Amino acid sequence: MEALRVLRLVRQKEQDNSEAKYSDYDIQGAVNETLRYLNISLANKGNEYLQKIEVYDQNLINAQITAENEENAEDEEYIPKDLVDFAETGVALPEDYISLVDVQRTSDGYHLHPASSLFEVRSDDGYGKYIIMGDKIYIKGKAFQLCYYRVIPPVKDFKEDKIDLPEICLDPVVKLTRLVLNNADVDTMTQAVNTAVERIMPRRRYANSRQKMPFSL
Amino acid sequence: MKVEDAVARLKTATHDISDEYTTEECIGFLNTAIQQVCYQLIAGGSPQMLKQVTVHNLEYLPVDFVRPAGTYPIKLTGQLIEFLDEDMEDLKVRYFATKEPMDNTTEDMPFVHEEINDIAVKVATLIALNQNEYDVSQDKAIIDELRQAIATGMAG
Repeated sequence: MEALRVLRLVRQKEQDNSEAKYSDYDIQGAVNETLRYLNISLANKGNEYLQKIEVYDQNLINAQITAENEENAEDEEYIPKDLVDFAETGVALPEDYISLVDVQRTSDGYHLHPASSLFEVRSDDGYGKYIIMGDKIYIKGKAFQLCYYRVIPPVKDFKEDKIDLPEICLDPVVKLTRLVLNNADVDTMTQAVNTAVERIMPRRRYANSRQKMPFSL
Repeated sequence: MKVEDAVARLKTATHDISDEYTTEECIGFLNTAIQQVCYQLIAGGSPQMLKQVTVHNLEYLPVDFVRPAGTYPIKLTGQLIEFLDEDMEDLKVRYFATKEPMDNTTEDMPFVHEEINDIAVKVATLIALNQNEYDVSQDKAIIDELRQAIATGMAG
């Protein structure tokens, strides 16, 4: 969804095509506030619009760190970065991380299980387990892929940026942005966000997915 | 409408047969009246009072600046503009501007709409008469309504 379309629709609905009431800065702030409200609501309701996959490979990450350290070896102000060990040091979660969907081993797609403690992950029985602590994920293994709910990036430039949501969200974004611009109170805003999210989320998802039976071969 | 026409109409309306008001005084009345009308149009958010300017950090406001149209990432201290984000090179600001005061009779009256110039002359007439302690309450009520109608009609 192009950010410029949102800007023009908001102006048209607010009867402000001459830019007499609101500056682009006002509308940018309101659109970004709306995206944050929608983001939280969609993430808490488990909406697939926000799902994203990040692939982690310990060897690849360490090769990049080594190369960066070597490149800046002569810079006195540069502090060399430590190498990463997924089980010992953990690895930082993506910056746009909100909450977890799934962790899979890259080699065979095996779904990893959450462990109850870091000790359990580091133990000999730690294979196939993970734990998230703070902004890091700890895993016994060399490569995994993380599926998670992400933050929708804010609009920085109406001419260049796109809002990373599907077309169906256009009207809710415009409507909620107008509510923010007109200083709607918290209750009205919360109600409006919930209604908007309920309307755009299908009641039944993946209705044709095949459930694996417990004793199937 | 030229300023000299406005001054002539002002003198006629005030029955100034003894040339009590000098031309400079009349221009002063007109300037005050024009500012009143300007501020009323700006209060109504008329797009015809808008201007756009590109500003830089630590620059001074344009002389005709009244208020910005919307909010901008700037801090105003008196006439000084400070950017909230110092890394920003420049910024386009849309603002409501007042009309520049007139200082001689050969100029044009500032509004494109002749009807608004008429209102300005009528307001100037009231100011002039009020200075001589005439009872202008009836006229004021009519002109207030006219001004209000124009401000509402031209609102953004």
